[in-house]
Amino acid sequence: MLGLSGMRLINTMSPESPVIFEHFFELSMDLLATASLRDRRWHNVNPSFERVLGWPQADLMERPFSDLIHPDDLARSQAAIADVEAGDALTDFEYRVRCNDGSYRWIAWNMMPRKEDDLIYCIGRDITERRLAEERQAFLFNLGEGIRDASGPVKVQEVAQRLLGEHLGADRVGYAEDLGDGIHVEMTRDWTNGVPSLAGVYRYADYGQDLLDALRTGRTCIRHDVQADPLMSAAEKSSHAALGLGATINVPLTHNGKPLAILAVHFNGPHYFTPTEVAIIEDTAERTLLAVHRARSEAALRKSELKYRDLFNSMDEGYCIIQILQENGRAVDWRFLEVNPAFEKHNGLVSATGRTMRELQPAIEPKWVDIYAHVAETGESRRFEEDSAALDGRTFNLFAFRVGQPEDRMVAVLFRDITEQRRSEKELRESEDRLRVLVGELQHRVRNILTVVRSMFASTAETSEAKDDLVDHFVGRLDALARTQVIVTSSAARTVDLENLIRDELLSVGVHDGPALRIHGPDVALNAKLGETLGLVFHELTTNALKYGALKVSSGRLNISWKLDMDQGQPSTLHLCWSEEGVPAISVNPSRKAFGRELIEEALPYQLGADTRLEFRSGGLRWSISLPLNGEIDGRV
Amino acid sequence: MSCTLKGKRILVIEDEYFIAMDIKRTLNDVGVDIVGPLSNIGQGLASASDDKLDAAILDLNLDGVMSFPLAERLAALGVPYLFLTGYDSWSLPHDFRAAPHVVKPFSSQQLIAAVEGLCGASAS
Repeated sequence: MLGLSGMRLINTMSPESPVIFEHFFELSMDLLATASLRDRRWHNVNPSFERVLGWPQADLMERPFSDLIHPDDLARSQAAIADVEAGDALTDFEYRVRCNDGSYRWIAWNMMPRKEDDLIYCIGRDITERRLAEERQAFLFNLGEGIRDASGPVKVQEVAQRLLGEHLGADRVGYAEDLGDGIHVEMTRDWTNGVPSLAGVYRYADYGQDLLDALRTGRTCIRHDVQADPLMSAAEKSSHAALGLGATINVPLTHNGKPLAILAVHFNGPHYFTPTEVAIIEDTAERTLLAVHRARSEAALRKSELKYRDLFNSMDEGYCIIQILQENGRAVDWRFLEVNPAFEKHNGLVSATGRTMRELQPAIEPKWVDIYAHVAETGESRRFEEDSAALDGRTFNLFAFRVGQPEDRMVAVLFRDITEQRRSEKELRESEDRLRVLVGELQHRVRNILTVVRSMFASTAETSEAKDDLVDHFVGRLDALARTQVIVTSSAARTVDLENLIRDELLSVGVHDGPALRIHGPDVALNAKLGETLGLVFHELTTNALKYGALKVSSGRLNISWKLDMDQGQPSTLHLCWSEEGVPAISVNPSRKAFGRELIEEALPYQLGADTRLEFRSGGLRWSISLPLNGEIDGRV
Repeated sequence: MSCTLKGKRILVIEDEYFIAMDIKRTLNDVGVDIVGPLSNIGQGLASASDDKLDAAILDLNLDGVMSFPLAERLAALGVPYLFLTGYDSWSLPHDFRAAPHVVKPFSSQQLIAAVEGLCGASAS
């Protein structure tokens, strides 16, 4: 408290001013002063000048106030004061004033000239704290912007170091990280104001005991003046001097007592770290640490994301992430959030990303939404096969599993179009079935034909008088059967062309085309059984003609002709006639028991339902047959 | 041996003429009264209803038509039957795998023994 002796009116306070103003002058927290209007010198100052700036009143009397103005603020301040001298009042004008200890404080001034007193009345308020807080805010804002734009942990460090160094006017700023062993730190790349870099690996122990303790407790270690520091040994001082460290501050960053990093700021000479500076450095240290860690985990995440992205982009399977869409709490559709390049190949959906399934294909079956919604709700992954008429009738093999949180309703789907695979499996099965039928069929035919051969032999033996006859007849018939088999099995449709069948038989006994032979009729493809039976008949007739008929005598002529009855575009009946002419004597009428006659007159009607007529006329044999086809030609067996 | 089949009415369905004649010859020799032989299933079905049969011999594959419907009909009428087949039993439908069958080609003795088996089974 000021005593009454301090509350005296100084010098030329107006004699008519009430005494109460003198008290205000003494008591004010703000700087109150008068200055001479003529020579810019302080005329009178209140005690606050000493309290705020450290100047005793006596030291300021008659002193030019430009003496105390910060050199950077001098020019604009003098311009402003010139306006006051010209008669203008000045409001809230801020400049820095030098304190008695050499530091500066920000003062906001109101000034008013009064010509009749030849004085300028001045009121100043210390706004240093506000200015520093603003400065700190501005710096931290810049730092935040700079760090945000930096890509990668090293860049973050560089930006933070440079911004802090420039802001403080420091000579070096270095962010060093703990190497995990609790012994070493590494400064990857420091920022310097032209002085040599100190980047490298360091041991905590080399920084001195005080620093080590500070680091352990997470306390910021400040040395305003290394050479004058009472806590440092001579050896430490000389090692600091060797590195050009005049003033240092080290901010340790720890997590659960474990050291993570240190932010160090160096000045070549002594430097007084103001509380504001310390706060800024500590803030910067903390933000740098967070940003470095974030950048590092982002980089790691990007790397692992890239790895998976590569996988998804290069894999053969379709892959997508979908989000279930609901209406009134019911799943009705889904949106494709992400799809891989193979996606489109498997399901034919183009440009699906960002669109919903119903947009892409309104006819999509509801079962799909039900399945995916179930996966999204329960978190049960599901492997299944399903087909979709809406997606070109494709069949899919799919694996669906929930991703993210249940409330995200997101499902990842890995899938493959297995339509072709299924089709070929089905074809293979069908082809196996066909083969089975064919093998059965073949077995049937082989055994049947053996049975026929057996019967044929028995019948031939019965009607042959001599052994030579038996051999000739039987071998001839066996050959005829074999010829037909060869033709049948060499044709893809397993059919025999009627004309070929006849010519083959004639050719086998050396009968060629000529004036004596006429073969005439439309193309007819006979099935195997018809071919086999008719082949035997032609063999019997040819043999007979060679021995007794038209093929024996030079005057003989053989005419074989046929035609088809058609029913609704399909051949229904084959009418064939084997007619021999020019045979002088009536050929021997073979016994009814002869194999050939039995074949023609009994077997053909029995097993083919044919109507046949065998005539032994003068001039030669004539055989005619009407054979119902029952759709059994054209390749059908 | 031949006594057991004498006078039995046995239906023969076989589309191959020469095989049918073989069967006819073989069974005639042991005194069987042959019904047929017939070459298709339609004739066989008509005959099964009209004739009082003791047994039947059915060719399995009648020119591509299987004789199963006739076999079912005969089973319903209580007439024992056997299949003549070029197939092994694996290619028979499940219902008929247990039916007696004679595999082609067969000898007279095999056929007679099989037919006796049919008639004996029906007699007991």
